[in-house]
Amino acid sequence: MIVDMLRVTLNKVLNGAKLCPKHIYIATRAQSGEVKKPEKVEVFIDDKPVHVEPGTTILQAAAMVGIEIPRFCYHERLAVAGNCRMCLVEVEKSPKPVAACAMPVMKGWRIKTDSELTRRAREGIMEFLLVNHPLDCPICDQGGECDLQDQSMAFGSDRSRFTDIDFSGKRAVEDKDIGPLIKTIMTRCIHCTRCIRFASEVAGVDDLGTTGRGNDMQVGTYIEKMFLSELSGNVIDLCPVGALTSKPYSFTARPWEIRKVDSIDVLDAIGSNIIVSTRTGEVMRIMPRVNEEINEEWLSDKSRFSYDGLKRQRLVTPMLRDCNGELKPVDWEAALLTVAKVVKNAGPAIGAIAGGLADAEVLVAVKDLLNKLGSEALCTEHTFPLDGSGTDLRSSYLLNNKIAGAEEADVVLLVGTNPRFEAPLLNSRLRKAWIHNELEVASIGPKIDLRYEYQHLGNDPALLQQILCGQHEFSKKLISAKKPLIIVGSETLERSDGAGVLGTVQALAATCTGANKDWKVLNILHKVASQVAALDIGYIPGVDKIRDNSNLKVLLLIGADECSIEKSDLPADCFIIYQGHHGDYGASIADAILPGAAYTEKQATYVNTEGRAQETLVAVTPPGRAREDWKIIRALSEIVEAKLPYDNLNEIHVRIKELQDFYMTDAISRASPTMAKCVQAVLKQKQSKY
Amino acid sequence: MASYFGIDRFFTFLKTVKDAGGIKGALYKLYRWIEYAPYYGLEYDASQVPAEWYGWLHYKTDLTPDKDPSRPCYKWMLEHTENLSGTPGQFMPYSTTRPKIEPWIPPKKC
Repeated sequence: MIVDMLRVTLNKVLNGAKLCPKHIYIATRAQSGEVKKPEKVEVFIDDKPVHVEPGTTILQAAAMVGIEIPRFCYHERLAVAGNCRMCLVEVEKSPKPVAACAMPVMKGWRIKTDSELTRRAREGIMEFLLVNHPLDCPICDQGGECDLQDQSMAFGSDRSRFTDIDFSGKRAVEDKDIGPLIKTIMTRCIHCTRCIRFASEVAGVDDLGTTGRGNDMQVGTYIEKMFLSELSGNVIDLCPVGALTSKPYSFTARPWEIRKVDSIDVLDAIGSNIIVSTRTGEVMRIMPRVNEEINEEWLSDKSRFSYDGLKRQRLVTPMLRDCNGELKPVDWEAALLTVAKVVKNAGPAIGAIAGGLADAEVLVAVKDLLNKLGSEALCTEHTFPLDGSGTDLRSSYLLNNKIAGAEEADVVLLVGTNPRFEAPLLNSRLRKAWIHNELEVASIGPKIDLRYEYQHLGNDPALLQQILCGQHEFSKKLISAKKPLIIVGSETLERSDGAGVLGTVQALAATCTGANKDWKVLNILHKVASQVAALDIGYIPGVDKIRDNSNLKVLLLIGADECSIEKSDLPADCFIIYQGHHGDYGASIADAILPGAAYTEKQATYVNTEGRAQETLVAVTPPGRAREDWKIIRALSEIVEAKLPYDNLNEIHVRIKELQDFYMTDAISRASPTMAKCVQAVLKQKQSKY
Repeated sequence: MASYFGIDRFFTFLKTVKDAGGIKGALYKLYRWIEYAPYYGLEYDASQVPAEWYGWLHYKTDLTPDKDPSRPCYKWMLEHTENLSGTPGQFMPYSTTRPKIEPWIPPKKC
């Protein structure tokens, strides 16, 4: 069944269909159960009748008939605050206008969203907000995508009563320093408290809050403190005004001069959907794109802010090591001819290692080329136990229950993984379930802060055996759970006892199947974006095969930068070819460098940890002489006289589909100065007494 | 008729004519010209005349550079160069803006 599902998604990607239709779930997944639905109530919104479930707010009911009520504080994914008053509407026979976001509808209510009273109420609220909002718009980063700007145009009064001719001054608030990512201009704050609610509900950091009342109210961190969350960047998107803006993006571009390209994030294995904003051939910023199945509308900070690493430490020209042992820039012809000569001489004594950022197209091209040359030494940098069925069965190395499925779980056992850093968006799902679904989390591994309470069982793999045998108190919980989940970190499986851990976990998953047959207990959480695609295509996890091969003549590194193999592991005369986009460890040991494209610069397929194939799109062109990765391999194949049978992206996609195996902290972040600043800030914060 | 007048440090002969006759002679002028050193071949041009000989060649002065006592001579004065346009030595303007992409520079082998 999973096979079919992936095929469906892959076909969708390959046929260029829309990747992620925007699903609008108003109710959270956790609430959607098999409970008998109560009778619907009828209300009239601007005299349009609509049947809604009891408990629906006026704002949601209005959305159902396509009427959008203006709001600042209300957000679908956060708790209702009802403090901005922008959503005031008139309800017939009610003496005062009511806040639509917080008021559940009653039977037969007639709501007027465009009456004189409603309009006057909105204009009044708008006036109050603007009295103390600076006229910063020309220098404000939010300008052009500001809710306050838009709504003051649409719903504000058409004339001003602001006659401060004495310049007695508007309210001014001191800016806060909450870290290297978020810039605060607190004078612009309209106290919607979205950031506070996000921090405490989604991020699980109760740092933000308000002090003072009325005109003296301030949003802040009480004591000077960094907003230390791996999801902190999302408050920038949430802030309806320009009070919280992105520090790295500040004063660099305007929304109307930006070109937006839908893409996929590859810095973790989640595969978050992103929008890459570019201007003048540069990536200006990265923002999340709504995909309910993967990232909802959040994005982790690493994915959001490490784009400046795409402009540094880049490989922009082919290089060859000269007789002095120095890497010297050459042109493509010289590089390809030299590499082809070496590859041809090596014959089948050639191997390849795929790094964490390699896309499916280049993985297929390299596999086909090496197979044509008679070599099977295709490895991935990150290993995975090959005992038992190994990687033959797709379900043994996937996050089978899907990312969104984690919300429905009632008991979760984390084995040697820290989802907060390995997959922040999975962690936010677990946190959501912990809040709304009374999820119980237990963890085997180092004691860590997951931003929610969990039972720390210990740091010993032997505990798994105990749970399996029923000697541990937790095994009862796991077996009696209706929807248990076991999430295993891929890093644990890379240890020497990884095979044992996986075997035990598989046995454990077999004992607790839960109530539902479609529920998949065993889930593997990968750390890098390329791993699932590589295993699907038939790469061998781990570099042991390369290391054991004593007569290897040529080693092709496809973005392999994790120091998994060193020069001393290889025969002395082994020629190392590095193909990738960043100069890091792999490039420094290489004899030839073929510059490739980063994920914002190529149309490429990535398969995330749950086995979902998604496609990145070209946002900017590869810098200098760098080229799309699979094209380099295709060009090389022509010179070594092992021509690959595809000339364009469609043909290589057909080839990926043909492959039956497909069943159908990386180099970018290290080069990013913003990420380096974050590390500095965190170290500073650790020294602080707060 | 023509007489040798001097030689610059690029071995270009500078000559003058005492009496050219005709209209030119009526101007009581000494006609001055140069003969380029043989290694210039056909690749000669006026910018090869050193700056210090310019005044003499254009009748601004009758004193040749070696006989001119008031000629300034500072240590910061550069050697005269000919116009290098069209040769590998020509001036190429370059951008002073920071490049958008910083390339990786391979570490040097010690």
